[in-house]
Amino acid sequence: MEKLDYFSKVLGVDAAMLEKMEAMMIRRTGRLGVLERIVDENTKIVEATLKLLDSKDRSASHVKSILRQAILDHEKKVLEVLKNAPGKSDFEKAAALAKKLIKVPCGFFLKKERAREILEKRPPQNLLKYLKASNIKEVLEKFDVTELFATLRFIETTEWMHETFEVAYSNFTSADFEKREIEIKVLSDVWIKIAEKFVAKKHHNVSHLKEFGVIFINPIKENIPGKFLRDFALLLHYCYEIKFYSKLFQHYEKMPDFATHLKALLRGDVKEVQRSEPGEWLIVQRYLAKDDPKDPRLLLPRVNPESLHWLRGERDLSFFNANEKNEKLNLKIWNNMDWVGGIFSAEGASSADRQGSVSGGKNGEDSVISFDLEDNAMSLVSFMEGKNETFNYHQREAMWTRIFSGYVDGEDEMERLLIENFDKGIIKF
Amino acid sequence: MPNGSKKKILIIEIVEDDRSLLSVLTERFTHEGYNVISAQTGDEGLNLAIKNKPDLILLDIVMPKMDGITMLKKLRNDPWGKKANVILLTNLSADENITKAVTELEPIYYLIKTDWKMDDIVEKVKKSLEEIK
Repeated sequence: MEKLDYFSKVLGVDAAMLEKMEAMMIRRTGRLGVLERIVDENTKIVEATLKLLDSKDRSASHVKSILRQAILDHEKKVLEVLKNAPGKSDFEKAAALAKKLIKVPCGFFLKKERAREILEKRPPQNLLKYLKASNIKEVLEKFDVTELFATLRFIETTEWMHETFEVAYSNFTSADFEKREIEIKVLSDVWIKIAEKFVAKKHHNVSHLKEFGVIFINPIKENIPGKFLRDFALLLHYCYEIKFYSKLFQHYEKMPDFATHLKALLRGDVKEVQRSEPGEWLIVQRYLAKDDPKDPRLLLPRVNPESLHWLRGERDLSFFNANEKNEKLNLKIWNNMDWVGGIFSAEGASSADRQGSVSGGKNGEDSVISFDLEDNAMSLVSFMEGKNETFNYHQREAMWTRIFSGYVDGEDEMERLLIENFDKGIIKF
Repeated sequence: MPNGSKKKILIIEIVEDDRSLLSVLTERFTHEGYNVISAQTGDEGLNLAIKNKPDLILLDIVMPKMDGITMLKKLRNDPWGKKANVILLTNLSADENITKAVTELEPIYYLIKTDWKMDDIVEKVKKSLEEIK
């Protein structure tokens, strides 16, 4: 399979657009052979992974199945280690393990006194009622202020949330921020009743407060195989997302309209550019295909900060048992796999004549299979829930992000460009 | 009536009472024009599967004589059975062993009966049959 055909299939875009993009990127950056190198690397990783997982059968259904099995085995490994981790509950143990794995200890976050002041000025009535408390002072004495902040979204009205946000966040300056460690906290059992609704809606039990640098685990156990690893990877991902946002706060630190930028960042306002010319890359912070598989931006070159957070979070997770002798049980196979995808047929055609390797959809159609940890964990969960959906949207965005990074000087430079151009919604070469 | 040639479904499930899943599904699929074969033990199901090569097998995990997982493992050792389309049904929620076996044996779906309504199961069977060549 020719490289452009391969990318066209995996990314679901027109080969002619890719050709124009490549020509312009060569002209603007002088970097040759980026796509060839990526296809070559992809092929090697797919082959090595399938060899490791003992797959002689290259049919799509079998490849999906062995990747699901790998998730299952690796989840078991993590859960075994978790038993001996410090902490009173499994959730506390997971938080301690995550803290040990991540390599992002500090960030630039809103001082906790500010959170306290917000609650004192605008006491959250539903929260007081839920706790049967007569005033906020009493509540603040009993609970950590960020924990209270995290629960507001479960319990207060949208109107209260919006109003409080507008009033409280409009006058913050960078002096209200400080360098502090990222925290991973388990919400206390007091909140279970309200947190259950949130978990049911979000389908996972992790949430975060970017401005305070805190990630929360809702102590609600979900016993479906795959869910623990899926959510644990999400937790690590959030650490990097929080760190990225902290860098954005610092980027706007010296600008006069700091509060405006802060509010836009926290609201998730990204300038949604809809068109681009060759040599231009959209910054898209969402998984567009999840909302609308026909979104026209899915046909354009783009770079997704989310992919960068996944790359980093999954990399940390992949070093979880780096000394494990049994290669099949070593999580390092997921390192640098977030962007990898193979095209496989139902019958299991040999990958030798297909760059990137591939084989298997229904009715003889080729299907793209993601080798990303999160996509496969989600697929396992879906399978165990009787739905058997296959996910590859993380991998597809990661593949675009991988191509982008090929035209710049690696991960750090990519991040710099993302931060610098974040409010423009586009990076122009 | 399904389009094209009459598709064959093999249902393997123990009959526990008059309204067992087996009888209800047999009735539903026969009425909709499918050719339905049924078995009540893993042994019988395995023989019928290899002999009749159905387009789809609905297989209960809990079975007398030979359980569904053992039957499916044996089926996967058969040249035809290796790629046979199977939907696993169970009353059990998966323990570690079942989960491991289920992910390895590549059924199209793994359905815990209490999580799904009859119509959902019928829909999944029909959808799967449509996707099969």
